[in-house]
Amino acid sequence: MDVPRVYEIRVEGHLSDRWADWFDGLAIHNDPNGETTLSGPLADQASLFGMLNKIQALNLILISVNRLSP
Amino acid sequence: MSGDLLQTKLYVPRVRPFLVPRPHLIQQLNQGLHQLCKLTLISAPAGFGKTTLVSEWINQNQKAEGRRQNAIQPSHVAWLSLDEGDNDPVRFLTYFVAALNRIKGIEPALGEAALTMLQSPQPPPVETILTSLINDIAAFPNAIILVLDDYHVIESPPVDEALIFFLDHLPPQLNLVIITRIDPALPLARLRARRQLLELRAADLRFTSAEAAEFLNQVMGLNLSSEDIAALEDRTEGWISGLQLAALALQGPLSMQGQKVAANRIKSFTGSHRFVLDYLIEEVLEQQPEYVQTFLLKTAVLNRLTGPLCNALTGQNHSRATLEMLERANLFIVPLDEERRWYRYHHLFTDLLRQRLRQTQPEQIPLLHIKASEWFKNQGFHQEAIKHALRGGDYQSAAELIKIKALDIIGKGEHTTIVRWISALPEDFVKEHPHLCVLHARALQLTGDLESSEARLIDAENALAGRNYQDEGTMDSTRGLIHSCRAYSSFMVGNHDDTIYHANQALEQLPATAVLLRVQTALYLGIAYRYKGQLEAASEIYDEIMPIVESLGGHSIAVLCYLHLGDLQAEMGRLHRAKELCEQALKTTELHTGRPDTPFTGYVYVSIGRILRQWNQLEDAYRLIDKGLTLCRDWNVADILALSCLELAYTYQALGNDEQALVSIEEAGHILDSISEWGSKLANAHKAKFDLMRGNIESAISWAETNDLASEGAFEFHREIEYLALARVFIVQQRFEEARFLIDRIYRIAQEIGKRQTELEALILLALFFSAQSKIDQALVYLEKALSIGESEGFIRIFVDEGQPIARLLYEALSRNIAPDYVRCLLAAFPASEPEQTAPPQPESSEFDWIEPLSDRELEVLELIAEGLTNQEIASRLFLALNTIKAHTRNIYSKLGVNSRIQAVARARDLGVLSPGKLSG
Repeated sequence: MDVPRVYEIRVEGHLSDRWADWFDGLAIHNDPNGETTLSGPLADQASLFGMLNKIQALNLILISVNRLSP
Repeated sequence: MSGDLLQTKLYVPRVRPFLVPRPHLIQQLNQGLHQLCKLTLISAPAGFGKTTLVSEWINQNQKAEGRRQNAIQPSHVAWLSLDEGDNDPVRFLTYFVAALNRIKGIEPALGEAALTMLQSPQPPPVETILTSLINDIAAFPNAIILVLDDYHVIESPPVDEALIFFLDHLPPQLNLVIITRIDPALPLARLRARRQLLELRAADLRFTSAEAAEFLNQVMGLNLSSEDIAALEDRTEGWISGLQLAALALQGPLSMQGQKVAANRIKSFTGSHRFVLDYLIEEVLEQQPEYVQTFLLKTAVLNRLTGPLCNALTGQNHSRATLEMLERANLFIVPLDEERRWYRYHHLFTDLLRQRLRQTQPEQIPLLHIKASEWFKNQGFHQEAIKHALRGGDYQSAAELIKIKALDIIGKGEHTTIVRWISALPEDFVKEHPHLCVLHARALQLTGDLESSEARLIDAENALAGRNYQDEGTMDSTRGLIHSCRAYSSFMVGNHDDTIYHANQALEQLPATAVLLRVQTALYLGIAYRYKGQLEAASEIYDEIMPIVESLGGHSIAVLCYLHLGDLQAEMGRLHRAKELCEQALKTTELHTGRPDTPFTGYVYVSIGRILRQWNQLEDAYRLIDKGLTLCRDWNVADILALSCLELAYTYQALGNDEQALVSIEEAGHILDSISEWGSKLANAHKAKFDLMRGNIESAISWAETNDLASEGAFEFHREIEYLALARVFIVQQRFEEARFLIDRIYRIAQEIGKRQTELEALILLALFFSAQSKIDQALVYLEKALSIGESEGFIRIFVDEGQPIARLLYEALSRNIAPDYVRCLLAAFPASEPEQTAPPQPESSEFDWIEPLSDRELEVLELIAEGLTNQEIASRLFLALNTIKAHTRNIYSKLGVNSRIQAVARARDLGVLSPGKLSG
């Protein structure tokens, strides 16, 4: 069942806000430990994997993917 | 066709000067070659120097000195740079084969046959095409390296599957190298376990400290202390692009190279958490002069760059110089050819530049795409023009270009590409362009989506009908195309009447330039005509298209045309001409692919073999049919395979090898059963014929009993074999009236449509029919007719296959000096044992003596009966009473010795009282 869910994706390194629209409007939060959390709703599995592809395309190092909403 | 390929995709990248040498990695790659690893996988994210490493390795391999140092043999090298368009499996395979085909110094070139197969309107399965390529490779003694760059753009399972098949069957002399950013969907674990995989991953590709030092100080010309180098290496973790960007940032603007590097800049970089790329791009870009920044941003929309194109986009006029400067400065630009005309940006760089452009000047993006589209169009690069037009939202231009190129692209088998492009246009827009609709329909048909295709055809018709269209001047060709699509779909479902109608309309309305489509449509038309027994019409169509077919050169459709035309000629009794046409097919194939043997030409060999068998040249026939059958197995099209098995069976039978004949016929039957109901019927009819030939009467009779063919009713041309087999069974069962009726019908129809072979067979059956009733004189009348037809084209087996019964008749014919030379030749073809001499023939029965001729009036009535009129209709026509007509009819029956209309007409024709050739109802 593809309904929009909220995801939290963590990557290494800090990103400036200007990357917001590259990441389709996900909120960018630079954590004190040197990691960045991208969070927000994604429509379905296809858009989730699309997002992961974008992260990979930038050579960002993926740490984790969590689904927050039930 | 190869002129249409983007040569830059096949270009083996040149080595850049001033690289950091990486001998340990080169050595690993050479070991992979030595140990005959099937797959060398270079899998790491962007910016790890993958492509650079592989091209350096290849460069060393090609140079004698490099080889001496590394003690390896030279290899032939092929390179394919993939892009997202290669998700179309036909496009992927075409470039894949072309890359190997292009290797210099290999004669004949690899993959010629495979390329021909890819062009076919109905390409064989991928496995067949790859097998042909693999066989070519296996026959080549030296080592080959094939590199696939950027494999991560492939997301299409058919492409992955093709590659898996290729890997599974790879000859040892080919080393496949895949460069990718993500692990491909291939069975890596299995290859690893079998030690057939060499992997270089990010960990292997990172710069070591020594390499980083060499890069920063030697290659990039910085003068850094070892602490600084260590700090940078640490921060970037040896990521090559990161170090490169750092170096560029530290170098300062390009126009000011060699300046002293500010220490605090290094600190601010190494001390921060900022995402490396983020930081560095900003630093590097913002330091460049204005014109360089503009240049980079504007040209970022391009997938490949060249001077004049960049001028068009930037409005500058020194782009060529700028490109060369960027290359010298190592600013992520890669040359795509020897002459330094074409370049592309490193993918990472492209992504970032595009992102920046989106952020700073988004409104520019569509304009830039449109300018690019314009430029590509003017240079004749239509595919790229279309891509840019679509991205720029210029639907009108995209549509115009698609319309120009679509048929060519579809003709190359890349209909998936057309589907993708038209799907990218807004639905409303497409519906207003009937020509686009029908092109979409055609492409969808070929992907097998008949439902969507039909919907699009209706869209096209609606647009034309409602006069709601935007494109002028192509209406005829649009209509022609619609008919051509409908002809195709009718043909596919076996609706021959509709095929004939639509195909004729299409041929009238399609422009002369749509050569391939015209030939395909004509081919279906010819086949449909033959199914409906309209042989003359079919012959005319083929005659019309043959000159155009020859202009198509090696296209596989040429082989199909020759085959069908040859088949047709054979049916019309012209065996010599048929053989000529088949030989022409082989010559054409050899001319264009370097050899005559391909899976396509398998059936051509079988067809020639069939003719040789008819001429009783049995050894040669067997040789060719066996060869053809082997080739056909590669192509694996069920009905072709089955028909080939049948030919082999008949040949074995003629050679006296009943056992093998049975095996072949079983195989044919097996295949035909799985095709369709009609296939089963065909198989059973042949089995019945075989049973009769071997004297297995019971079996044949039980087949006849369960057969559902109605002797009356509409004549089903494609079930002719069954009618003939049924007639033979009737003769054996002494059901003479039914046999006569059936054979007469076959004979008349065959005569009418010009199907000489069938006419001949029917005459032979009539001879046997009378012979079975001991009416030898009558039998010989028909035998003589048969001999006169068969002699000029050398028919032998059609007589001899009937066995002893016909042998006896032939002896009798010889004794009466009927066509003595020919008859001797036929008799010589029988197996050595003497046929039994029959008892002298019985005197003819009086039924055949003319006792009383028909009166004029009776003849009139008989003629109208022959036209199929009822008694009532005849009465009206002749202004006589119904009872009078009935009386005449009774008289006619008694004079002819018959008791039905059908028999009356038949007998009258035999006696020459009525002229033949009029079909009664």
